[in-house]
Amino acid sequence: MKMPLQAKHLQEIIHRSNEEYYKKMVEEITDYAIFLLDPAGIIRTWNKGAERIKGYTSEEIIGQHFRIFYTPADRKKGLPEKLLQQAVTFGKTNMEGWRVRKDGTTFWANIVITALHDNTGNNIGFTKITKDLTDRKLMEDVRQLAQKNKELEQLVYITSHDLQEPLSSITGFANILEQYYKGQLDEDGRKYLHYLTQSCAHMSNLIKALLDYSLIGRERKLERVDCNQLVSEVTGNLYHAIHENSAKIIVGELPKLDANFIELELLFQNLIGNAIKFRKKDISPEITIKASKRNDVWEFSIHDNGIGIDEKFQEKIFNIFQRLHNKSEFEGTGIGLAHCKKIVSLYGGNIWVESTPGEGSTFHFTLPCD
Amino acid sequence: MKKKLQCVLLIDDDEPTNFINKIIVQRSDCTDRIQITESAEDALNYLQQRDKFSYNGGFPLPELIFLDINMPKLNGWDFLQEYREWNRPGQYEPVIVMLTTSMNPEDEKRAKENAEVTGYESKPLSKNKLDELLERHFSSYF
Repeated sequence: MKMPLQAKHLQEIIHRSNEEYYKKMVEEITDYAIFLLDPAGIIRTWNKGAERIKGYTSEEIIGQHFRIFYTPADRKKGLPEKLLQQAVTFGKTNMEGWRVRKDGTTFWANIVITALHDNTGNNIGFTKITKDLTDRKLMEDVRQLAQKNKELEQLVYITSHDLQEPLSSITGFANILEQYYKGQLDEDGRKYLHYLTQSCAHMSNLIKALLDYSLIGRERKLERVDCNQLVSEVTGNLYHAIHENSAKIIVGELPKLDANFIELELLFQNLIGNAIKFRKKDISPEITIKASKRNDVWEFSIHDNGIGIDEKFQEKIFNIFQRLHNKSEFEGTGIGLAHCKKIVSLYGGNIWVESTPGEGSTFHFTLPCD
Repeated sequence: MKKKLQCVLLIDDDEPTNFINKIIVQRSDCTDRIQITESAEDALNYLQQRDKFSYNGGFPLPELIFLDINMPKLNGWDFLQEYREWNRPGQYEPVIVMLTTSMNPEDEKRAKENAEVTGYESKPLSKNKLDELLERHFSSYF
C-alpha cells in the first residue's frame, strides 16, 4: 500500500530520533499549554499552545517562576508552591481556576502538573499542561445564573400567591366593619378603618404587580406584531387618560416585529401611561413615539414634555417598586418600569432614559430586527 | 327576598375565610342554613350525606356552593371531579362559585371550561359580590 507523502514524513521524523519527535509533537500543539518546570518551579520550555493561551513568547517567559500565571490572591495563599508540593507527594495534581495572561486578563484554566523523576526516583522537575476552558466556564456560569433566576421567579410567584390569602381575610374583615359597623364607630374609629382599607388595597396591588412581574415571559408565543397597530390599541386602552388631560400623541412610522403582542402592549402602555401621568400641571402632555433602525436593532423612543427625572434617579427608576414621588402626588406601585425592563431584556434589548428635570423625558429601548 | 335558599355550602380550609363568608351570607339573609366544611372530602360527605353527615331525615341540599381552589389533599378541581362522578339526585344543579385568592389567569380559564362551575370570584366575598350573584342566579326568589 502506498503511504501518503505527509505520513511518510512523520514516519521519518519518528525514526530519525525519538527526541525530535517528542519535541515536535509538544511544540506544535496549540490547544494546550505544555511546558516543563524545574524542581523550583522555574519555566524551562514553552510551546505554541502556551504562547497562544498565556500570551508570552518563549524568550519572555523561559527562566521565570511559574507563579507569574497566578492571581495576586492565589500567590498570596502560596497556591503555586502548594501545587508543586502536591505533585511531589502524589505524583500529579490537577485543578481548575482563574489564571492571568500576559496582558492582565484572566482565563479559566484546567491544569495538570505531573512530577518527573530520574532513574533513581529523584524529582527532576514537572510537566505542566494547561487548557483554556473560559468558554465552557462562562457557559456554565450563565446556565447557573439562568437556573437561579428561574428559582427566584418561582419564589416570587409562590410568595406573592400565598401572601394574598391572609391579606384577603384582613380585607374581608375591614369590609365587614365598613359595611355593617361604621355607624357604631366615632370619627377616629372611622378614620382608622379608612386607612386599614386603603392599606389593604395598596398591598393587594403590590402583590398583584409582583405576581404579574413573575409571570412575564413565562409562556411566550411570538407572532408578527405591527407596532403601528399595537400603539393605536394602546392609545385606545388609555383613551380616558388621554382625553381627560388633552394629551397629544404623535406617532411616527413604526416597524413590524416578531414579538409577543401582550408583552409589547404592556411595554408601550407603561411608557405612554407614564408620559401622561408625570405631566406638568400647566401644559397638556405632548408625546412623540418614533423608531429608527440602528445597526441590527430597532431603537424606539418615547418623548414627553413632562416633569422630567433627575439624573441621579435615571437608572434607579427601572428597579422593582422604586418610586420617586409620594402616593398623594402620583398613584402607582412603582413596578411599571421594572416590567418594561424585564420585557425588553427578554428580547436581548436595552432600555434607558434621557431627561432634563422640568423639560421632559425621552425613554429609549431597543428590540431586535429580523 | 320573598323566598330563602334552603342551604348555602361554604368549602374552604381557612377558618377566617369561612368566618367572613358566613357573616356575609348571614347578613344578606338569603338563607337560614349555612353549612361550613373545611375540606373537599367533608363537602362531598355532606352532599352525599355520608359519614358524620349521615343522619336520619337528611339535610337540605345547598342551592349555592362557594368553593376554594387551593386546599390540602383534595383541592377545588379534585372536588369538581368527584362531584361530576357522583350520581346526583335528579334535577339537582346547584350554583357553584369558585372563590379564590388565586389571580392566576390559568385558574380563571380552567374555571370557565368546567361546565359545573357557575362563577369565579376573587376573595374576599363581599356584600356586593353576593348581592350580584343572588340577583343573577336566583332572580325567582326575589
